[in-house]
Amino acid sequence: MQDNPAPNSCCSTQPTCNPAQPPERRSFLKCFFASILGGIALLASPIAGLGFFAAPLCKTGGSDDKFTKVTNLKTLPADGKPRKFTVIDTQKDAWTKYPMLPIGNVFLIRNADDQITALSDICPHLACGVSLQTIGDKQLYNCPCHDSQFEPDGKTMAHTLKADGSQGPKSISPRALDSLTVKIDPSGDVLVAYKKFKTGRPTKEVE
Amino acid sequence: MFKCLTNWLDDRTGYRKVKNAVLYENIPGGAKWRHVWGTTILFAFILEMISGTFLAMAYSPSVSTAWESVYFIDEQMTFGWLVRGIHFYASQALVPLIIIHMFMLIIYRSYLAPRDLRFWLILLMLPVFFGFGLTGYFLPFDQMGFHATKVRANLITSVPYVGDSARALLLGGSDFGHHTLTRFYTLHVIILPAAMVFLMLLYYISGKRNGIYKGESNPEKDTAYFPAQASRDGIACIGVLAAMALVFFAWGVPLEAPADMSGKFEAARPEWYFISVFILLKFVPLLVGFIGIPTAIFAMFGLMPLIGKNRFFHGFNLIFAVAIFIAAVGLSVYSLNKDSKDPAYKIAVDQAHLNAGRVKFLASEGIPPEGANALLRNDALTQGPKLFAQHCASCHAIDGENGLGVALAPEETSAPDLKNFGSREWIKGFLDPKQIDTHKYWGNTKFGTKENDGKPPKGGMIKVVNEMFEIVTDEDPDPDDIALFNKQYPALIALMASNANLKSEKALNAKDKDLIALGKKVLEENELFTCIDCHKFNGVKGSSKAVDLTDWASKQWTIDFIKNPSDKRFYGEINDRMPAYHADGVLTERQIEMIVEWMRGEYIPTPEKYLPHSKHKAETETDAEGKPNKDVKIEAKPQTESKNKTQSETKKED
Repeated sequence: MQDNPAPNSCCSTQPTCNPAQPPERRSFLKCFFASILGGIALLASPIAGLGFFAAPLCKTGGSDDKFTKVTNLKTLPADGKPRKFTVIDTQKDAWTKYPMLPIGNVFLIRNADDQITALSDICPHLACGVSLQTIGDKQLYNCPCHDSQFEPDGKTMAHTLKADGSQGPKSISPRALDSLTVKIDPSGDVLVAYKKFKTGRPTKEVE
Repeated sequence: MFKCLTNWLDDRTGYRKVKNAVLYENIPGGAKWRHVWGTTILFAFILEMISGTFLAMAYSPSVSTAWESVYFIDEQMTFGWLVRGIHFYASQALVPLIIIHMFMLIIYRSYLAPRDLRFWLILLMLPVFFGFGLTGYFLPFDQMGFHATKVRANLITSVPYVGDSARALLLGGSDFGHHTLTRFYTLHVIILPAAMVFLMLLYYISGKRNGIYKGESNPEKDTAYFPAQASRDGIACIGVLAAMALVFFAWGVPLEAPADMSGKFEAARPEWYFISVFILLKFVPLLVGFIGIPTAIFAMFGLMPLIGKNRFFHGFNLIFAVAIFIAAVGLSVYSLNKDSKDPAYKIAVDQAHLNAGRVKFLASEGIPPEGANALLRNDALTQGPKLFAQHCASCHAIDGENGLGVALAPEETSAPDLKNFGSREWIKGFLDPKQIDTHKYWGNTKFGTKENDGKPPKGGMIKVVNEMFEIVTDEDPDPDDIALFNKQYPALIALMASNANLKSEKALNAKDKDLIALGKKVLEENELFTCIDCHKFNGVKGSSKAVDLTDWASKQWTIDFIKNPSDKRFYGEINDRMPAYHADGVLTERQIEMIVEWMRGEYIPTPEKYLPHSKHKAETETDAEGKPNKDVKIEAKPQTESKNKTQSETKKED
């Protein structure tokens, strides 16, 4: 096999050329203008694109409380036991508007003195969904991801309980389950201002 | 002629020089098996690019189409399963291949200058490969990928100052949505491939300058890449392909149920190669676990070429790499072992597989425009037990459980157990003085003796049932009475059950035609069983003092009852605690209908081919003694489908 075939009579058009090299003399001004002009021409699209890309940073989440009906008092006995309810609301995602979509879950607790507490089921550690479980004779919220556990009223448990009832490591969640604002309207409907909060930090901040 | 063409091309491109440089690269010391690993990585990456290109032709990144398009690729498109299988398993293969390659570089000290840049380039490729893995796990938008990604997106927010913004940029908004998919897709198919190709080019160019293969040059042993090393590389690549095929045919490519963004998914776990980091997060603070430790390890690897010149430090590098490897394997094994001992996790996984099979079965009829989740949201088998557990199980049990497999203690239930509600068995128990006053029926209701100072309420059903049975429970019963009772009682039971018209008793109802007719006569006679003194029945004149039993326990009757038990057709003012689920706006009509359909077993069971593999094996075994009945198989499954057992199933359990 030939490494560098000599220009062949039937196909060749050019002799081999020298590799490109910067010219000896350069005019600073010329170089400067060439770079600037080229740069401006090339920048148009990335700048537009970056703005497009960074748009989500400018949107702020609605901080106003928007109450959604979750259930009616009739289905919520005043026994202090947590019960899970799904929050269903209209939701918009980019171009799609969902008329009625489950947007999250809350635990409602109605005490004997008719105080209602609403807790989000989102674990403040990394946002997995907690579930109500009974370990031994202790009722608690358990997170299936990283073993966070919470008391029925939402407080972080001092010590987690393993499935066999023995004491596990400290609950890793940085804060208690997030409580939500509850409102009861005259017809007995229970309304909750459903929100999601930032995870992994000790303070409760709206997402 | 051909020669002339290639000459023409070479003249304009100089391709021969490139071709020769690639094919006849000198390998100092000759071809070796240990040189194949780099090529296998390139090979797997090329497989990814080719299969990925084809997948991109059918994949549609949006919340309501991502899972749906992947499902369609998997189940319906010609060779779709194969293309996705190649794409999935080539990505899995890359992980061990990269680990082996890294070890080769460290063991043979190939990271020393002038090949240090090549080692660093490989280190830079690692995050790109991880990026492929992380975005690729998410794109099918199934429960697994979504919930794992949700955790990761929240991990990012634990980075100080920039965390929140980074998450918003990645997700394309404050929460997951269409734009999360389009952004991940762009990363996966444009940005990351471009970055990878760029790094690979640099890697190749740098290799050309300093020799791709390290080794002592020896004119006697030196060979050209082609064909000696090329054939070894080829065999290695075929080996990789064979290993992929083996695992593929054993395990298939997973696709869980479509992402349910508001729900939770207790079976969520990261990809197997990230499990060590996942488990680390249980022990150390977030920032340490997912940024601190990985960055420190990465930096240590980056230092290797610099300190490895020294023999002692070379040994240290090797020990460090082995230690990291063992730690990662150890943590993964610990996590897998922990999971395998966790019954809750096992149930969650089984449930996830059942759900996945269910939605794939439902989707086989076509998916509505709002996406496959709508199928599950409208499916009685999926929603029935959940709705029951949420809305009914605070008072009612079904077979002693809450509908989702959690046992309810008798004292926890304040209303009847609804297992097989409307069946012969249920009504027989209700019309039995020994049972009606127990927790399975009215024992814990306000109609029970317990709630009434130990006496059955006057005029209440419990008292009536006791009185009706007096002729047979007497100390000295009249044989004629007993004969009459034994003739009329089954007729009454059959009549009631025929009104309920359960799917599982269809054959019985047809068989008992005469008995049912007799039952009607018994009511009309109003002698032994004086039901019409208080109740109304189909075609029999009766009183409306108590609940209207026309079409009792039929689908519509049950739906109407749940909608408003305090309606004057039902309990009216004497209703105990049962809420008016529809009148009070708690449940929609469809939700009530789904609860009832589920309780009555009125849904199409998931065909066997959509059931989890291991499950269906176990079921085939247990079926040997039962009838080879499709329903039976379905109902042997845990949780959602354990109710409404057919007769053969019930017998089997006894």
